[in-house]
Amino acid sequence: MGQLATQPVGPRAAGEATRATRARRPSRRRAPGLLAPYGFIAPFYLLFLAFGAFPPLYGLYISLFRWNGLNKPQFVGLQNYANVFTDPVFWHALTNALLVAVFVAVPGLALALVLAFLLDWYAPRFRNVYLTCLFAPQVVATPAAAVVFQNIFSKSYGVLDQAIMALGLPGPDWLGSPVPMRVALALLLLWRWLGYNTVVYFGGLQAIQGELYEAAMVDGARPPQVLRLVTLPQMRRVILFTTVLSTVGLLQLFTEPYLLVGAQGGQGAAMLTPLMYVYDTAFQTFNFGYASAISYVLATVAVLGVGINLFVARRREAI
Amino acid sequence: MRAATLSAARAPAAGRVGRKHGWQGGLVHFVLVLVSALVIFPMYWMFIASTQTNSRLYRAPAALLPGAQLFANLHQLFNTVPAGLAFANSLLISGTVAIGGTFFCALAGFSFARFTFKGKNVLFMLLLATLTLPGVVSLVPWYEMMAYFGWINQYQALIVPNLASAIGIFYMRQYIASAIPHELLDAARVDGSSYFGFFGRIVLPLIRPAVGTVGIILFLSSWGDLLQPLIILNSQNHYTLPLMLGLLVSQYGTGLSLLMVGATITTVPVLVVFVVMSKQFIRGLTSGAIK
Repeated sequence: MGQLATQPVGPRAAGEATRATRARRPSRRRAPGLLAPYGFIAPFYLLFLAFGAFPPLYGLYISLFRWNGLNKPQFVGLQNYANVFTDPVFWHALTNALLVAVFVAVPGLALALVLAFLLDWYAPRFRNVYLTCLFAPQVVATPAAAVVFQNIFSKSYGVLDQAIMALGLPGPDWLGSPVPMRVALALLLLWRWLGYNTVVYFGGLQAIQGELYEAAMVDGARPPQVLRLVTLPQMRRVILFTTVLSTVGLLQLFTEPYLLVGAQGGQGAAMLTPLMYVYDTAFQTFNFGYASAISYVLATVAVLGVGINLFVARRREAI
Repeated sequence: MRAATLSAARAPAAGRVGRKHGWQGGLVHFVLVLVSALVIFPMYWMFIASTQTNSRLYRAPAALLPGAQLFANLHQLFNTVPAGLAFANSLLISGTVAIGGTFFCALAGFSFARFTFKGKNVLFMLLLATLTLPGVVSLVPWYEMMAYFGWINQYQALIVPNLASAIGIFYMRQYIASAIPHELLDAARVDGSSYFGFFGRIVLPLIRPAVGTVGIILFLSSWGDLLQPLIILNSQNHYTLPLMLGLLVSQYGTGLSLLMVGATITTVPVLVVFVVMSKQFIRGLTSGAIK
């Protein structure tokens, strides 16, 4: 596959030689072989266009119809979207997602930041061991984790309830009533993502140059001030990255709630996530058009969420 | 370090160079050990539970030490569901996605990082735009397309669409941009090598950490995916491990120990690989995370 040869021979060599001659032109970044760049991106891009760019557009198209996948689609314009806004189940699912997002992301990211800070500032021995342990949940397949936690959360027999009852308190029915269910899901998500966010923050902290800290110390800053005036501003981009990731990711929760309490979201549908609702609408009720409309409303919410994150980040910068 | 003199005067913590922090160091260790233990516990529990009998698991106090039932449970698992097949299916699908996807992302990332060509910015913006859209919106269309191709219940449906990962290409582009200096490419041009040769011989070895990171990310997201197989696969012989677990969960009267051992075979192989390669993997993540 190509040669780094200095003395190529044969017809291929003619092409090589020509290319080499052309390459000696001054402009460094111009690709002389016009086709080469496209060749490199072709496999990826063809797949991307087919499966990454086209489906959302097709989905938008589908959302304007009433269709069950078999019969002829019926054009209904924006009727599906109107229905979404008056659909109580949708709002319920969305509320669930937002609750999860706030109650998982905020404490989770804060805790991750604290842990990352401890690992960075104090640089304890076995640092890599801690990071590996914290990150390990990411490597556990989501369904396996859900199954394990389903057991841990099980009433009276689960390890968690046993530990709680050993302290003399009543063991909640984690997967049976709405409020404990949400807490249980939050704990599961926290378990899963704490390590990831800690590693990301750790990377960000490590990238902060030591001189900044030294300068601050020389200026007489105390640790809380150092944290506020040096660390946090430097970490802004990384924090933004994790909040955006969390926002979008938590809106697409499916596997854990599905395996923990079933497709309906459990008692009071407390664990019904928007994606579960889309899945149910599309593949249990076979209402493709409506499902597409829901997914687009969801997407809008996600984009809004990202927009809000960016806006807040920008305002902080101004201060 | 200067910090030492200053710390004597005011701030308790000395710089980040791992100096002795006295009692604070101990507290830090304590916190880290506590959190790590809490995080590790569910995995430990999963393993313990797969070595116990069903009846033992339904008795309090909870079993915290390994039992002797591992092989018996495994045996029962393989008799109840096509577990070996599910494992093989998962491996095939996730492996292909990981290898193929990483390769394509590296190729494309290289092009975006080091070439200038017409339409480059447009194409890149398009990529960015789809990243802001949650995957939800592609779900129904994806299904329709799979039906159209005749890929329902086929492995291709789970492999091909997942080969073009936007995150993968971003990571690759950024890594290659920082790892392969312009001079290297110019030298190769002057030498008369083909771009593909340059890519294969020089770039690929240099971006090994990125290849590892992206490969693992792609592998993991495919391995643990429930939604796509749930929608597409309908014959048990084609089931992947997540689906097999789902089957166990929904079957009435599945013993807990069976469930746990199923979860274990889904987890342990990947976990082992991860622990072995953790240092490189974390390094790859922390260096690539800063955008």
